[in-house]
Amino acid sequence: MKNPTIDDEETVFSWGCRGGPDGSSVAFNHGAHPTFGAFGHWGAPDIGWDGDEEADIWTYIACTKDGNEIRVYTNGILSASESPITLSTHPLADDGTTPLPFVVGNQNDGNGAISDPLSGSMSIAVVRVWEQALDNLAIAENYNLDAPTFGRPTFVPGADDDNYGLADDYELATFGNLDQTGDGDLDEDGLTNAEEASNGTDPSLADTDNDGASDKAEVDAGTDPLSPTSVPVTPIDLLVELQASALDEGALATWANTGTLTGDLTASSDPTVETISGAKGVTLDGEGDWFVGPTTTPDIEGASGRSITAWIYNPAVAVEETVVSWGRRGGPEGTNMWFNHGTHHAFGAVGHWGNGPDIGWDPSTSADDAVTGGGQKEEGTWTHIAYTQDGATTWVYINGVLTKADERINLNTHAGLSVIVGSQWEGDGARPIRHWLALSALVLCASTMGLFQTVTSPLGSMMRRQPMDVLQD
Amino acid sequence: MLVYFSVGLVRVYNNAISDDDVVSAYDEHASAYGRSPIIGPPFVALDSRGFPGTGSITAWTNIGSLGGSFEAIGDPQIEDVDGVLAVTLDGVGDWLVGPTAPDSVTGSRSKHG
Repeated sequence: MKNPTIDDEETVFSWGCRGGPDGSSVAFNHGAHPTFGAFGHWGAPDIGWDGDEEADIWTYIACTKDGNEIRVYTNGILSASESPITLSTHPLADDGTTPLPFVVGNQNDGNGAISDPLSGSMSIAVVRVWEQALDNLAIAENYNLDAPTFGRPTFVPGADDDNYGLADDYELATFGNLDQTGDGDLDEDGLTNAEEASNGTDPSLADTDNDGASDKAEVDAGTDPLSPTSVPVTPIDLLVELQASALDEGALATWANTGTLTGDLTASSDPTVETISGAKGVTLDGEGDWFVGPTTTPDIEGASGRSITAWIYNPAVAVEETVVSWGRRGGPEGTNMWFNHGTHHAFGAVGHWGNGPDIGWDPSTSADDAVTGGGQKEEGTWTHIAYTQDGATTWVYINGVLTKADERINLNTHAGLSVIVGSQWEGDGARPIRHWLALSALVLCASTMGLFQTVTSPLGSMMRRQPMDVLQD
Repeated sequence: MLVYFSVGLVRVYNNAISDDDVVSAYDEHASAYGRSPIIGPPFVALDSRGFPGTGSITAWTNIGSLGGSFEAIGDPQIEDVDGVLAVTLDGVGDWLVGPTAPDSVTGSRSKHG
């Protein structure tokens, strides 16, 4: 049959009658409805084509009831099955005397009449009906019988007749043609088509279960590529870690980085180690105090994922106060990376430059900081702030609680500049800014500050929470 | 002489059985023994490719074992569709009504279309 446009239910061949009780009808359809687009017998469960229905092309369709199972086939290949199915196909209309005929293109009503709503709009060339159930092989043979006439390729079930390294019926069912090879990689996920077949993954989808990890990554990691809840655990690399707790009080010229990014941070002016509210921190006075550290790596440049956590003590929160940054100011869009503790509704938490996904701390803010409570600021108390970016979404947290998220993404962080604590690079990258931001006395890193690379992956909460777990150590 | 074989199923009847009975006995467990069931000819077989040409159709002869024909309701047309003569139903009052469905495919019996 050839169906120019596919409605929910278009009858190809039927007998019995509609109206029940359950199982009273046999309606073989070519429709798009997921529940009864292929076969309806009145009352659940019916069956659809599972997306295999094709419009405006000669198509071989088949349906067989074998025991209590219904199977439907497209072009000789099994499309879907359903069981248990109990049929009670009516031989007579509701009056108990009117025999019910076979019908091409419509269905009998309970009173034996045939009405229009379910009539098929299609061309039909061949119809065959058996009184026995046909198995997969018989269906394939029946398909092969006429396939060339209708422009469809024949195949040998289970065989690789074209010597392409894949069973022909698998090729037809999966790709719709016999053009793919076993060592090819249609979805370019790193698994060959043959490996996809053996793993049961979809060779046309790089991430069959849509969990953010490619089929190849899942197979390599030993996780289930067909389960969205089974994902590889990607290690988090702690690039920069600055600890204040073990520092001696007084001026601090160099702050040792215990992260994997090589290089310590060098002070500008006179940052001072102090004990505030029982915890040590490095105080930046807002008048030229900052630290310049190691150069960034591609892990946190461009559009790569990244995360930052920090404990801070900010005695008076201004509009924008930089905690840590890299990249540089001046654009183009998304080229800077600065993590703030400020009140500004649009970029009080994170700025990336331009109209990219900047974000403030207050989930209720949309315009005026004064109206919305000053960006959910916390002054004069130790506060834990966190930022994470997975390449698609920005999240910010206060004291371990997600406060705001933004799905806009336009990151292209400039490469090759040093990480700075307490300031940002000017647009020329030659020096940190001095007067652009009025840094108040900002105490950083009472216990731990971590700059994390987050692998670009929507692994969701696990990835977002891991830095927090590290922090709690 | 040494006879070596395995037996999967034995049935002994008290009388002669028909060809159909033998086929039914075979089909009943064919798949369990890796065999395909014996499929007889379809009792409904409609094939438009043998029509002499395009145009209106009043009946479509069933060349299957059940015989009879399917009478046209509305105005189904025989058309050349991509080089194949086919019966086109327009979805508005077109269908064909055939012979009464026999007992073998009503009730709860297996069937295929």
